[in-house]
Amino acid sequence: MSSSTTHPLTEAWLRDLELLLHGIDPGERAEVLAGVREHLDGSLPPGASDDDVRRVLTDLGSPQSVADEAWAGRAIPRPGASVRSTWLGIAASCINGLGIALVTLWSWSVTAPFEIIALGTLLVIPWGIAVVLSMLAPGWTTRQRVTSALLFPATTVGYAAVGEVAVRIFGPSLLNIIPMVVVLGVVLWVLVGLVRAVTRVAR
Amino acid sequence: MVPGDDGILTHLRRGALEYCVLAMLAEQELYGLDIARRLTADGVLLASEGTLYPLLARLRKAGLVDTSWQESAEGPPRRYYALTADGTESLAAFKRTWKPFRDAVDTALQGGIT
Repeated sequence: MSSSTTHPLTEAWLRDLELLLHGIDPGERAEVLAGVREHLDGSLPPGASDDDVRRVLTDLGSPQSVADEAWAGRAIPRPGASVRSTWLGIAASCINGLGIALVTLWSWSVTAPFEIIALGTLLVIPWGIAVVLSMLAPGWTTRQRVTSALLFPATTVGYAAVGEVAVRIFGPSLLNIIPMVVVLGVVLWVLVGLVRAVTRVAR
Repeated sequence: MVPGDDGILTHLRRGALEYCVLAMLAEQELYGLDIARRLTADGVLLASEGTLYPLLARLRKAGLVDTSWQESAEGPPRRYYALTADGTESLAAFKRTWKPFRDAVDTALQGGIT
């Protein structure tokens, strides 16, 4: 270790940078700090004058500018994994979300659980759009595409089936909401998983 | 707000500078200070030397460069950066994209004058 990085000015500079990099991936932070330290060691002979140190630090830029660059953290596109638009998957998920919300609301007004399926068929056109978008969406595996495409009909059928079973077992009761809520929970969990998968590609 | 020359340069550097670093490493392995000196020589590509280090860390994290320590005659060992196979491929892809992009921008700018 030469004396250059122990000069009070370089020490203060490095301390500032270290603070500004707080929250960045620890490995990356250590690498940036080590790189800058090596740069200082290489640019400044041991026992460099204050003026030399100031000049080298000016060339280095402010700790803030270095931290800004680190925080910019743009992922570099790797060959073969080009970053394509993610709107297809997000749009499919939005349509799915809206459809599920509508069917959930409508299911309150039905007198028999299987009427939910009849109501669900009213949304066949938006569902068709969601299927096309799901199939074209980059960033999803085939399984995720099929999941996205089938999420809406599965929800509708799921509500109807669970509702029917609950009515047969418990008769007409407010408690029948509970299995429906469970279905909704599972569906939302799947939907959130799909949205996360598609936005992960963007990063 | 109209960005000044510095603002425009900052925007233009983004997305191009990492490939300039990759291109430098295509010819030989270099250490950080050496890369910084070469990039700041013209004052266009790199405004302040320090911003190179987050960029190098990012390139390494993306698997486009690799580092190794090498002894130095003048002092402590230095961290040398070398291009990986992915880095070579990425640089080739950028080169393919860059020329049509540059030509298109030039054509558009010239079209604006006439």
